[in-house]
Amino acid sequence: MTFSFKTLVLGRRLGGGRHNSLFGYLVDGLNAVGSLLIFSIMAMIVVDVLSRNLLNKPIAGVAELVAASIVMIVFLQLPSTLRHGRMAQADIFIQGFTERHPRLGHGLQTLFYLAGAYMLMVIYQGTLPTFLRAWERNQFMGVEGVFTFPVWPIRLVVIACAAITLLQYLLLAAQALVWTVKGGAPHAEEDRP
Amino acid sequence: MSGIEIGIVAVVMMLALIYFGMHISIALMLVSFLAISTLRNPELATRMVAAAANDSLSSYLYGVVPLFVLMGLLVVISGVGRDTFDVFQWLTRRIRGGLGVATVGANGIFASITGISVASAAVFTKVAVPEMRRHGYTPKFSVGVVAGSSVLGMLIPPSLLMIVYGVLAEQSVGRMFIAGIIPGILLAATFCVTILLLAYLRPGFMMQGAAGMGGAAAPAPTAGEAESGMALALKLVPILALMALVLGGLYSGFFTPTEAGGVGACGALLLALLKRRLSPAKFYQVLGETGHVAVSILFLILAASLYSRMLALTGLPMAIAQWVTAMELTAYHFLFLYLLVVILMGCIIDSVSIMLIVLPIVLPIAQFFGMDLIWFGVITVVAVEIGLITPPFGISVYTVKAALNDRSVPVKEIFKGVVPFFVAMLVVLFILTLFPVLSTHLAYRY
Repeated sequence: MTFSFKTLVLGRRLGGGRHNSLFGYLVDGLNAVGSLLIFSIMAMIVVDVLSRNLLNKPIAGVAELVAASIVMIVFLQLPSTLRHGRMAQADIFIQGFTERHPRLGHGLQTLFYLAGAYMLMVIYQGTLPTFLRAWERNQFMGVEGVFTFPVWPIRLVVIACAAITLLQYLLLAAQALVWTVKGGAPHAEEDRP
Repeated sequence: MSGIEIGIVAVVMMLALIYFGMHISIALMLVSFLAISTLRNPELATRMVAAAANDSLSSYLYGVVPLFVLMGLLVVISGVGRDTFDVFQWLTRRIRGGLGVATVGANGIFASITGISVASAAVFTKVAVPEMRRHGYTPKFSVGVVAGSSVLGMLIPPSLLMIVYGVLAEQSVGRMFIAGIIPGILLAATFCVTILLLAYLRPGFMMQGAAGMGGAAAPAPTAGEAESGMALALKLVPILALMALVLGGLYSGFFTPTEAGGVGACGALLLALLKRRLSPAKFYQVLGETGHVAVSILFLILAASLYSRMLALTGLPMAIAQWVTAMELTAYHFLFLYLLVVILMGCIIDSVSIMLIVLPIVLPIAQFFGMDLIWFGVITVVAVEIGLITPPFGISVYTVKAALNDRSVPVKEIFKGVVPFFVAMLVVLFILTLFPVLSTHLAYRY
């Protein structure tokens, strides 16, 4: 199996949303971890409910873990949500406009993707100091003696995944820019590696 | 520039960016970031963005979003949609327009175990439309019923929109769920009446060829009729059990909404496993899809929390509230304008985004008028849902179109078929606005 440089970076759609770039594997891998977290939230809650009502033993820390997991799930699955075009968006204008004026339309989309990249950079920059603080001072959440959990892994997930989402936005922007110059998206896959 | 001017510029700019097609969450964040930078300084703005990203979602309550989405998707996979439809088909077999009523009824029951309209629309397009076509209903009517009644999914609890409203308005999500029960039943009943009226007043809209209207008898015995009532009742058992688990647990206060979501998702998982509809690969797909749906909503909520903080900084909501008083608008004028704006926005953007954009501005006004926020939430959800079926961006209609995958039924035809249901929704919205007790009666017993 060989990868061309282009597919390595941008990923090539194989239909059904599959792609074969290394970056694509990374994004899908993170998505899988997020999926696992969703499942474990469900499992934790069910076990907690059962244990509390049947054995009269509530499990400490479930609420805190669920709360922390939500933030991680969002950032773990954000790159994939973006990559698969599932971000909420109004396509009432841009779709028709891009069909009628491919260059202008893709140019506009390039700008929008760059705006996305910029916001993720702000999130990264803003979270980096809180990550460092959590790491250096060994901050934890929960109630001491009952249930504690370190904060830094959560912050690490946020900054790492913000960086990856930033990269995904830049890739989308680069792709849209190429289409702006070429004057439209290719309708079929034109090149095979 | 004063804070209020910055606020106005920010809102206008945000609406423009969203209209032109920027990702809605990014537009919310970008505009808020720029506004806060102008009002104070970029360092504070960066810190507020980071705070929104790290802390705004860090709450046990937000677990409800992925859990109810997971439950909804598992229920779709398990194929109980068809079972519900079979039961209602049997019940309504002697009524003129019965299949239409059956679709509404099945959708109503299905809605009580799923919180996303899109799921209902996709399921019933596959289940109900072919059956109706076979019995001589017009394509227009068949798809119209499915798209129209799919909105029940987000009114009858559990409901994603109610969750989002509860979070934004700081109302109990459980109470919002309970508040949706009577309006949901009212809407379903109104849909049924609409169908029965259509059957007698405009049979041409509903049936192909006048000959088809000869009698109430179905043209051929269907699978549903061959089965006994008992066997059909058994089909309903798992659905009713799941419904009792989630709604009963919530209503009795046995579960918090998040727990109800977790237990409901687990129940749906067991159901799908028992019905042998779930392979490991499929389950993995369902989890991934859950993530995509939940994350796009949660990321919107994250961005909107920044946006509402920015609005509070500019002082715009209070200024609008004062302006509304100075205009001597009555509560009903305000409601009329508000609902109109929401319905119009529904033509352009999706339901969750509308609520996230509009509510931070109007909630202070609603409070100022002393409105009940539970009731306000119910009418907001109904108004927002009208947007699901209005052109050009009626997401339910496009879901039906995609699930149908039939070129002979263009989108325009579906929008035409939805018109009677659009009117029915307006009537229900009017009734709910006039009689707040319909929304609040059950809610305050909870």
